[in-house]
Amino acid sequence: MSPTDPAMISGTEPMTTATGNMPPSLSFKRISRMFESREGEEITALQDVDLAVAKGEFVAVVGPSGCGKSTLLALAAGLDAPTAGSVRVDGTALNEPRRGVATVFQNDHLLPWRTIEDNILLPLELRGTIDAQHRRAAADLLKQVGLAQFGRKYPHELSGGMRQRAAICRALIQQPELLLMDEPFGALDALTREQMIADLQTLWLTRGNSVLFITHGIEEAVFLADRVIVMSPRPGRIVLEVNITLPRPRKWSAVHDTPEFQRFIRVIRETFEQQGIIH
Amino acid sequence: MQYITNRFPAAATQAADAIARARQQRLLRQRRRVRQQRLAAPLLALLLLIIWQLAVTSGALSSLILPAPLAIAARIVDDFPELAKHAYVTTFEVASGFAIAAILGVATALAIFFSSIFRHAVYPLLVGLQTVPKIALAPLIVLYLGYGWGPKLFLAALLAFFPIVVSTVVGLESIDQGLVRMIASMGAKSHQIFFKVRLPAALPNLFAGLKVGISLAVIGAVLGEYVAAQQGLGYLQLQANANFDTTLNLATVVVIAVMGTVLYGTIAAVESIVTFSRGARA
Repeated sequence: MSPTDPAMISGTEPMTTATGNMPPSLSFKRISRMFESREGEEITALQDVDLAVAKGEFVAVVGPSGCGKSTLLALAAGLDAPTAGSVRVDGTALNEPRRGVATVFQNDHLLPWRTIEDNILLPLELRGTIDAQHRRAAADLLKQVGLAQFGRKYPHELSGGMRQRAAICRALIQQPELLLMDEPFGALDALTREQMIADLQTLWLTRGNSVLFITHGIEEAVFLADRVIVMSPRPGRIVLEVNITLPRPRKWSAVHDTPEFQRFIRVIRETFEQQGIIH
Repeated sequence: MQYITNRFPAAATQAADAIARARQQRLLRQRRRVRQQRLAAPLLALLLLIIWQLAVTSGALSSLILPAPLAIAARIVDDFPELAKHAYVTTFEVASGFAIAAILGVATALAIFFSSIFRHAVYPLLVGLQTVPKIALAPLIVLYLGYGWGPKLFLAALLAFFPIVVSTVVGLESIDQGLVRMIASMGAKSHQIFFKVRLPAALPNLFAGLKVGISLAVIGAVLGEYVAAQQGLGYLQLQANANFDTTLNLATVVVIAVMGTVLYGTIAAVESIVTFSRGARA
């Protein structure tokens, strides 16, 4: 990779893509997160992570298992607090889960005793009573992800891919400005995953919210993201940032075999190899 | 299928017919198997009753020692008002004792779940006490509580209490932490996490505890009547025993069994209503 290549910026300097004076949707400032193991040893999950997600930006974080990328997401969701540094959402410090931020986990975590529709309405139910307008919104979302007929069904009646679609609807009904996704397609088979990735791009393009997308799939990260962040094995640090300059909307068949796409993949793979993640 | 239909319509219809026939036959076979499985237990019971009946009527067994099933059934019909009167008393004891156990049991389980001090102080004691044969306490309890309702309700409640507490605690603790993280990420308050996720997830275990509890409450109440009572099915059974009336004795056993089954069925019915409406509710 050449240093003059505008598509790539390596190193750990923070990259501010926020436009003008608008604060970034999400920012990590010199974040470290330490855990204590059962034997009393200190484990550094994240070390000096600086990262900002601009409004409307799609940022994917790739890294090996145990590199702290899920910790990063838990911090952004307000489910965990950093040992050092600060997390900000829309410029204000975060210390608990916040409205406007919605999370999709690797497992759908649908409540088995609720219908799909009632699962999707759960976040609204926590804020007040459900009315007809909410139900229409849920039905609309279900239609957008191809589950129009499944609102009255229970989770066990749906396939894994359909359940994860429902989980995405449950996040989107909160109309999040920031969507956090923690390996959302990791538990799905390859074909379903490909379809879901394409659908996610469509959903995001029509909404324009910011996304922090955690994955260990290099190809899905490059396909989806405006910017890919590569993390090192523990202690997790940012070792590479890559701006993905491919035009949108991207189509898997059209994009996958282009030299640009393959070049992004290669650069990330090379970094993985340097880090000793793959040989 | 589509491919075949376009090119070889006749072959396609034949193939479709064959598939439909095979499926129908498979369904019929399956239905027959289910029917057979469902009938297995009642048929075995009927067979045993017939053997019993024949053993007594043929003279192989003395009807004084073991009266025949039909004789017991006839006795239940003849003495129905008497049996019903005592069954009413026992049912009241069982239901009240069980209600006390359910309220105190669930409250104790919640305290154990929410307070770590309470948990460390009380839970080991409860588990330890479960190994004590509580039946052996019956005479003492009568001594303390007298001959009225007290010891019957107490014994019914005591026996039902433990399984309710333990099942409820296990149910509350065995929750998938991912569900808690999921609802917490939506900004749920702790009472919302409890009522929307923890409690519904614990309901199957809670009901399992209640079902064991109601069966034990029957034992507790009858036991209390054995030790000291002037009414109730346990009392009636002791009377029958004293008069060498084995037919009435066994008739009482049948009534106790029916009562226990009905009470268990009531809990199971409540469970299916609660579990169903959880899903159907807005």
